[in-house]
Amino acid sequence: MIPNFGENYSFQWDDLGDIEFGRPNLGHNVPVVVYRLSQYTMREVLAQRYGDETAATILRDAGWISGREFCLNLLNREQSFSAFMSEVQTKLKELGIGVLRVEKANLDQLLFTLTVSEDLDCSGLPLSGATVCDYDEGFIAGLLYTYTGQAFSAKEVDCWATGDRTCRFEVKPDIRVA
Amino acid sequence: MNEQDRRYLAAAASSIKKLLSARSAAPLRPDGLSPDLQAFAEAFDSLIEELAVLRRFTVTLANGDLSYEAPARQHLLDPLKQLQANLRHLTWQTQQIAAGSLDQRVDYLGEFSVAFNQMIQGLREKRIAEERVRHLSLHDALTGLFNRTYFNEEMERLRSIQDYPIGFLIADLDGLKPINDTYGHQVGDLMIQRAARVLEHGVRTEDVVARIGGDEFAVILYGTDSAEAEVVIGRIRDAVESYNRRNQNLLISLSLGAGVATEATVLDEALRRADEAMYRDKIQRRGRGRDQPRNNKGFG
Repeated sequence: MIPNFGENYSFQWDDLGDIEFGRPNLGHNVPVVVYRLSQYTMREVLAQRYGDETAATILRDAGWISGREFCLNLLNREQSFSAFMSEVQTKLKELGIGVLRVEKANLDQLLFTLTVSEDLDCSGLPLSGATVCDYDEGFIAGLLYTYTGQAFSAKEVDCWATGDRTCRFEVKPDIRVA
Repeated sequence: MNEQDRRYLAAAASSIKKLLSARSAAPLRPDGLSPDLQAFAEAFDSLIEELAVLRRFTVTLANGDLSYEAPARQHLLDPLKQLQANLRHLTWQTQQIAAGSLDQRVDYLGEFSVAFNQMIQGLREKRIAEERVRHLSLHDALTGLFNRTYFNEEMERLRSIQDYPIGFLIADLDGLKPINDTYGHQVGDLMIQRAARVLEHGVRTEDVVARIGGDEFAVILYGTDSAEAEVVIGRIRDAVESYNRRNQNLLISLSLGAGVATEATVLDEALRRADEAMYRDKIQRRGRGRDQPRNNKGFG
């Protein structure tokens, strides 16, 4: 996926501000509950106003920008896929976003199965029977797009909210965009 | 409880015994039981089906087969799916290591993580040591330039490529012996090091500068013809002059010669011509009294 606006968005990494300067006592970290409060109330309002499907698309698009900016600003893109994924893993762990695993990687066909345990968005949620990691789907697609230059779709097939303990994403080239 | 209920319970008890003895048990799919028991029977059949999948998954994993695609939404399988995800990830990591990538790290697998990460660290240290040994084997310890071994290897490689012309320079540091005799080898070594830096300054970063003898250097100039090689010689002479203006206490002088190979068969010939040209330069410079840095003011 690539959002309809593509790379034409106004968000910049600098918009996140100088956190050290702004929060000299409270610092960088907040509890996961605060993040989720923000994420799920936002989702609720989006769903109320635009319906579930559009809300999911908006979150996915936001995740895509996030994945792209994350890659541009925090990762080294000039390295092998193996080293890149290792750096992604380390960074996601350091930032408390989740424990990333590469279950399968077919570099010829660009097919990947990725899992995320202890996911910031969903691990511990009540069972709803539906996958909820739309933001993560966009994040993964945006991250890989920025590293490879190729449009990807990332589809969550297992999620904590569907009763699984590991979120599993099937990632493949997005032929609608390619 | 009617007769049908009693028969069902006996069959269900038999199924439980089979499951406990690690044998498979098929769902009973009874019909017409008492309403409460019918609901229990349907739930029990679901359990039997999920246990069957769980057993198949467990046996597959125990046999080392990671290819089993476990069905979604069967939550008894969750811990095994997580284990399978870890093992698949480890497999991928090991493949990356086999392909030469040592950026992998394992977490959350207890003692295995510690052992794996120690192994990777050991491999990294071994690679660094090997790279150091290889560097030492191909570089001159005094100047950091490539050495004769590397130069010879590169000459062999050039015999198999089609990318010509290739230019060669031979440079000889004039007057090293009197400096060694007068001021000692430490000063002589310093002079060699400075000559090496001057030579590097005069060529492109992609060219190879090698120290092939005590006071002799060779330069490989890729994609360089005769006219361009003369330009490089001019640049090196300028670099020498510039150096000497700034270092009156340890002047250097280089005799230089160039040769160009237009095909692989004349590589050695080109190198020989560069050597001869260097000697002609040395003789001419000696005639002009410029072959030795006589003005060195020495070290106190």
